Amino acid sequence: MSLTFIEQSRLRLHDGRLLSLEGHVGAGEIVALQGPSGCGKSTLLRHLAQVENTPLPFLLGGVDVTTLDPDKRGISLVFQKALLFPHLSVSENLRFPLRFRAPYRSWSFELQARRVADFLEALSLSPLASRSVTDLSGGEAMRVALLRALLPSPKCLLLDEAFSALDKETKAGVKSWLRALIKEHAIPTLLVAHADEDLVDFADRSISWPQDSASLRF
Amino acid sequence: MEPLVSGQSNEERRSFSTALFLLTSSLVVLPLVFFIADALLSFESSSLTPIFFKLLFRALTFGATQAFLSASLSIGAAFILCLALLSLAPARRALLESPLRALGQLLFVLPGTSIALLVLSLPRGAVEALEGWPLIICAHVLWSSFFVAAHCVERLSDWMESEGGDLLRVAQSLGASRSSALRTTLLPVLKGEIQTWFPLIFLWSFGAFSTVLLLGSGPTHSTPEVLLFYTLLNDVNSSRLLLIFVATLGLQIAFLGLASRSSSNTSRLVSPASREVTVRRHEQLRLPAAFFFRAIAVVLISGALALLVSQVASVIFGGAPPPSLWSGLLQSWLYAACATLFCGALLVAISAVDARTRTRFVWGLALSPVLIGVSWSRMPGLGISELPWATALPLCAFALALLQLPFSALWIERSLSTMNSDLILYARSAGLSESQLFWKLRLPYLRPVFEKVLCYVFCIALGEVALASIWLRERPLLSLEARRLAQSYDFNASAWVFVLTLASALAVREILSRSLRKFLA
Amino acid sequence: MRTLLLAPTPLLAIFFLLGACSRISLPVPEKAKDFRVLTYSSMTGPSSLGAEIERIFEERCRASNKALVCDLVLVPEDGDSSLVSTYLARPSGFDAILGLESLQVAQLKSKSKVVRSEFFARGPHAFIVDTHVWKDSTKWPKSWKDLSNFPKSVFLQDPRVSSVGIGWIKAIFVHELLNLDDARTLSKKVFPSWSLSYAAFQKEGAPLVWSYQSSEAYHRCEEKSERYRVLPLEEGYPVQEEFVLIPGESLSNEESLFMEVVLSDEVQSQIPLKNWMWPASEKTKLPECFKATSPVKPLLDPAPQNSAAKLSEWTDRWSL
Repeated sequence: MSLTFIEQSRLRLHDGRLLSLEGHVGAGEIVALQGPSGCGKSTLLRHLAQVENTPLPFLLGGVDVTTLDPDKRGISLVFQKALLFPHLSVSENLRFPLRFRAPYRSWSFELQARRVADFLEALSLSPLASRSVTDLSGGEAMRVALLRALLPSPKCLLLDEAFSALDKETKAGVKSWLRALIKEHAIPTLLVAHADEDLVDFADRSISWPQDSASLRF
Repeated sequence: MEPLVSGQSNEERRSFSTALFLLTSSLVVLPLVFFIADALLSFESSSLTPIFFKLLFRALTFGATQAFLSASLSIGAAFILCLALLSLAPARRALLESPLRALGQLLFVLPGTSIALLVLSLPRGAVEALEGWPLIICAHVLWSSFFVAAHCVERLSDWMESEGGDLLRVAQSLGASRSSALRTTLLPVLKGEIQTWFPLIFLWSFGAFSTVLLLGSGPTHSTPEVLLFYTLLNDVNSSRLLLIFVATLGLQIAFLGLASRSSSNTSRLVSPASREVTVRRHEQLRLPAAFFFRAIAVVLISGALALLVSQVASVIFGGAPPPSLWSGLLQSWLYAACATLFCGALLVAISAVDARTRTRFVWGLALSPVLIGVSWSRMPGLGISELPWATALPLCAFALALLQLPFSALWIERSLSTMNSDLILYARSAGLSESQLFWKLRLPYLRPVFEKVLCYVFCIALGEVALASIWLRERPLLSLEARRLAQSYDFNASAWVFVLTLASALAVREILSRSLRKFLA
Repeated sequence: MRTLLLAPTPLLAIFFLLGACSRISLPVPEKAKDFRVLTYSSMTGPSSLGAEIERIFEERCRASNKALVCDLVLVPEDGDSSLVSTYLARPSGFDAILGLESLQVAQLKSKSKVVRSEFFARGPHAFIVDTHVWKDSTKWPKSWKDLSNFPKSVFLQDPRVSSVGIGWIKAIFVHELLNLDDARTLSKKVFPSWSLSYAAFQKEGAPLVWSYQSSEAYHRCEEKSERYRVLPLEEGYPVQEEFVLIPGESLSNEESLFMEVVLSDEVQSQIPLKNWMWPASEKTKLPECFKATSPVKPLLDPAPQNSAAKLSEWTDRWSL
């Protein structure tokens, strides 16, 4: 399933510019978007995730996401901070998207919990299951946040500087682990990053934020 | 965070904290122990009839029921106000936040007598319809809900502008609808607030004295405090007094224990707002029931405002205050000033101790003025009721200051938990000594808390009825005069009491702010 | 710094020391300075009977040419404790008690030594009706049984604290004029004292207040008003007898003089228009406006000793 921008894929930036989005991101392809701080990269990702007030239409697998209900869109967004729900355990955090996303939300509690457990086991992360989120290290928390985004089988993954808070060693481990998962499940992925080192051994290609142009071509 | 006390190592700091805790605790515990021992030695079981036990049970259940309802309704009303305000756009919300905070503080610092008088000034039909325990609950809800709402708005607002907004977006990005996302992210925070405020309001309502005296319709509306009070003054033998005392204190401690246990797990999870976070734009909370909440909020706020306005109007058009009020005003101010001074000293002391000791003070919330009054009155050898006025007044004021210590400790701890620890590291690296850190950094940071607490203590002392009724009965204090006037339905005079207390509160707040600023400069 | 923070400690030590010292040396010298009489608050105003008793006592005391303590101080009750409790909490603080009800006298006698007690005033209790609230007198209840049809219509006084409230206890338990459940239904509000209840009553707080038959006389004589009237009930009302009492083991000269003054014709003749009760002395002439008071059937306690013994239990049952 690929991500394709259409004529209506336009974004109003802070400076008043109307930015047109063109091109597409292939299935399993990781595209990095680089640019200076405050230019609008994170805003773009939030609009793509449809969590801002104005919708931003684009096609996922040939279907305009804005015509779908939120639980059927299949877009997962991961922030710079893990942002795990502090009152839920790790397994409950992981189960959270399954409660709302189709088709998992019609599953019973046991089936949902089973999916979480299987995922954790497959990735050798079962020991984290019953822990409190406040007890996790930075790297562990980010892995759980990424897993939470991947568990509902997203059709598209958006990473908003997801690695910038990690130290070098943890970053390398998380990146290689995540890249393998993305490739395995063929999820088109957009990554916003400051630093070049975030792209190394991860992104398939990189594009720069247009400073003066009115269009952004993927 | 490590405590900051001049020129001391960790060892010395710990021993100072322990010494202070033991000193203040002994002032409370020792008289209690002596009273209990004395009562046990002169115990007469003949006065403990089945009817007495029924009376005690009724008082405990009435006290607990009205306290539970008061706390639930107060927090319910506070959350309605809070959610209504948070559903507005930031600019409009900022306009309303300040008046809400002012109203909340105003109602909170008014003594129980004034609140009762406010409620009694409702239209006669409404008062008669609600006579008895509904009026008592109305008074408690009026007194606390705006204050809690203002605090919740501030806390939730900070939270929304820090990580709350992001959590909301994460939840939505994971497929949750807006209302589900709100429920998931906001409710735990609200739960944390409930776990902070519910026990406080419950205990305050359970220990309510003047509102029950003025708004209740007799012995059927005796809380344990009121029963204790009448038993102290009318039963020579201490047996009944001992039982009521032990039952009341026991229940309050048990409740506090339960409340502490349930909140200790959640309080870690709700991260405190940081003052260093820059304000970001956050989404509006488009609650499905926002309109409903706002409508109720308007009714609540306008109802309170109407009461206040009617009181002020009745003062302006009602004529001069009765002469009896002026005679006691100066003595009341003296009493209040003493209590404030003592409280100030205690606040400085508990700001210096470590956080663990500070949280231990919270157990003192189980105490109330009547409980202290009983144990100090009946402590053998103390003879408070026979002390001359010049000694009884500061002693009474000190007892009142001690009673405010638990709440102040809680407030100081809450405030210090939001202090950025990097500030301390920076200050140390800039060359400040431990003593300077305490006086130049920590105390100025706590200045808003000090101002609020001291103003609150002053007003509480001005309107304090329980301790004054036990130890200072022969003096024409404003609070005792207010109680007498309210009981004889003299509402014009009651409006003057309200205005005098309010004017005192505003004046004291002004004076306190300036002197605190100078003191800490 | 530490000294500053621990400053309250020496202050507290001084307070406790002072307290202990005051307990050791009780204010016996006060007895030498004035003659202290414990009484209820309406006996202590400038135009009250208490003021007259004070004047007459001090005059006679000074005229006696003996070295007596002639400065009389009337100490009012505080409104939260009964005269008996106030006295028992500080027995050495008072030389006489004025205004005790008969059951209270028996109570005190059972707990403390009493040299002498005499009754100096009496008067039946009565409900006083505010005719502005209950305008049509044909619709007023005619008997105690009828009262149960008028819930929440009476202001009462707390019998734990007020002697007027003891009259209510007598109505329920001694004379059985109404049962406890009906009494509870009838009660609108309970006040700690008669003066507070009456002040609230006069602000149209309730149609009825538990008071005295002579309250009607007060309004007629002083205010020339017929607004407040006795509610005539066919069964009648309990009678209150007020006592003057000297506690202790022996009678001093001042105490003897005080008794004499209270029972004198001079004071007895002032009781109707100053204390608004009937004097103990039957030969005292009553004012005309007093004689016009609506009649009530007085009910006397057939077994006062028994009633005194049960007062505590009855008060508890009433409180329930």
